[in-house]
Amino acid sequence: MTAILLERLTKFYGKARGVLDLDLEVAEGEVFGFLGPNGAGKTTTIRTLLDLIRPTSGSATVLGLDSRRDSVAIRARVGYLPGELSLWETMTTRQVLDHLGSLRRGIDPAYRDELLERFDVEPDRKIKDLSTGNKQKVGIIQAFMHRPEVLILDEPTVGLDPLMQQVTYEVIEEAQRAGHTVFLSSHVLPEVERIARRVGIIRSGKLIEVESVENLKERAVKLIEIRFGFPAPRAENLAGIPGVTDVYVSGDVVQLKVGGSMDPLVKALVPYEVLSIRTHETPLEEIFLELYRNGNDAN
Amino acid sequence: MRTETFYRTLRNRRRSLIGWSIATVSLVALIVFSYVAIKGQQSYQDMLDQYPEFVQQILGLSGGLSIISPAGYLNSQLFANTLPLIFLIFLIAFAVRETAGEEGDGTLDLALAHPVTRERFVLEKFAAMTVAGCVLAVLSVVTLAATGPMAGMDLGWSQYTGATLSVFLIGLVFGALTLAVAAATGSRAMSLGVSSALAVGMFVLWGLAPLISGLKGVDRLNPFFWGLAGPPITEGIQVGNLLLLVVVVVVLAAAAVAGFRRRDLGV
Ligand SMILES: Nc1ncnc2c1ncn2[C@@H]1O[C@H](COP(=O)(O)OP(=O)(O)OP(=O)(O)O)[C@@H](O)[C@H]1O
Ligand SMILES: [Mg+2]
Repeated sequence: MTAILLERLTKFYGKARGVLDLDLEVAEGEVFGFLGPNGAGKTTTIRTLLDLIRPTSGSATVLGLDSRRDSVAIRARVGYLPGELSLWETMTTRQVLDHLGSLRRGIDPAYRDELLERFDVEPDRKIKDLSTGNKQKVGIIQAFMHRPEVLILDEPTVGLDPLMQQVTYEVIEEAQRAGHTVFLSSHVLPEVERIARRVGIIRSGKLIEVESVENLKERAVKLIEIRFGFPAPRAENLAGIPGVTDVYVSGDVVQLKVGGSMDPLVKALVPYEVLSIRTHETPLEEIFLELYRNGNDAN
Repeated sequence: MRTETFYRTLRNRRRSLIGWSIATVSLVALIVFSYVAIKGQQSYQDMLDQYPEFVQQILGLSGGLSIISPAGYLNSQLFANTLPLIFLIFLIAFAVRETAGEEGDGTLDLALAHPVTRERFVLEKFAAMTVAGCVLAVLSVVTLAATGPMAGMDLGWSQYTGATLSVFLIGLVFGALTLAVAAATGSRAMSLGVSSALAVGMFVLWGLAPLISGLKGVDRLNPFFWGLAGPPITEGIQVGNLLLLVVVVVVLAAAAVAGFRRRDLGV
């Protein structure tokens, strides 16, 4: 069954573009990553799903329920983490969680306590006394504590230290194992490729790619740094290799970008003495660059 | 699940409500005790008699009320100005803070991502505002009844209650107006600006009404007229006028619901 379905979803803020003609289907039980640079339209899409904002045209459904007509039913079955989380400053974590729990039919108190423990949150401190990361943890806990069928998380790991990012990924994986759907937005590919099976890439309000993580990584441009023993190859020798671009030679160190398969490059390096090869995690922008070249972005 | 927003709102306003309660009780008691100094000072009354009619109106002394009588004194010092001001500031601030304020802070996003309808949310905010205002009204009545006899005032519960209720309803009209503007726009500045400007404007009009003949009749379209004319402290509550105030409050609350349902949040 379909967990989330967008059909020609369009949102304008007055004249300002939010998102344009989004078509997307996320299956139940799937972890879906929604990737895009700042201002791409991730938050706009997510807030439409919860009926916080209304589409200009097109539609969004969650678990087969229409985002406008059945919004209360949707919100009863969804856990939501806002992209810019704000909690009531004068309340304690415990009071916030109790309040939010009472706004729905109830939560799983044992699971809430477990989450408090795993995220190392002290529940009796006031929100205003918490650090940004600790507030974010409270936001994550409230999204998960009622074990919702669908989790909609807008940049969940922003502000978290690596350890807590790890806990977040684990909790997401557990939700998936329980058959729940996770829809999360992010700027960074490494995070999404860890936990999501499929990603959608949005840019300037348009969905320019929906792809499995594997395929995307295949095609992604990788930034590579090679140290050669003497003699290093000349830039023009490397630039001719299929998929290789942006070659930059500095002494015995060569930096270059490879799109798609690494095979032609590796084969071409055989005659040379290679001391080390370092590959860098692909920044999201690089994927966009590649999509640009392929002419997929109408922008 | 039922009235969570109502309780949460009141709990988060708790400290402010306590502060306002202390201020209301102190101010009312201070005004009542000051009566001792004015009681029997006929010269004071003679001086006020020289003032133009609109000054007397603004001072709550129209229609031959004497400032040295308990009713005239309380009307001129408390019911015609101080108490309306307390209710207005408290209720307008409450409404701005708890609707447009929550939206501006972003906490609205989280609350309304839960299975709560927008209608219910606004109505619970309205109920919380009304109940908080009632707390101040009840304290005002109780303080009057407790301190009045000590200052030699010969008024009773029914006069105190009637006059306070009338003034409270004026405040509630502007509180509900604030809520309606905040619900429709989400803007702190807009809701605060529109409602305070209208409140001040209406108050001045109420004061000027006897002076400007062109205002005859129009002055009846004024919440201050509905709540202050009489005045209730001597004439008792004006049932028709109070019903009118209640109707306006209900209409504004309905407008708040309608405005809040329709629009995008946090934009
Ligand atoms: N309230 C608003 N009024 C006008 N334009 C808006 C509003 N909210 C968003 N936009 C515009 O809509 C576009 C999409 O914004 P959105 O917040 O959805 O992006 P995002 O992908 O979540 O970005 P980020 O990664 O920075 O969170 C942006 O161009 C933004 O300027
Ligand atoms: Mg965003």
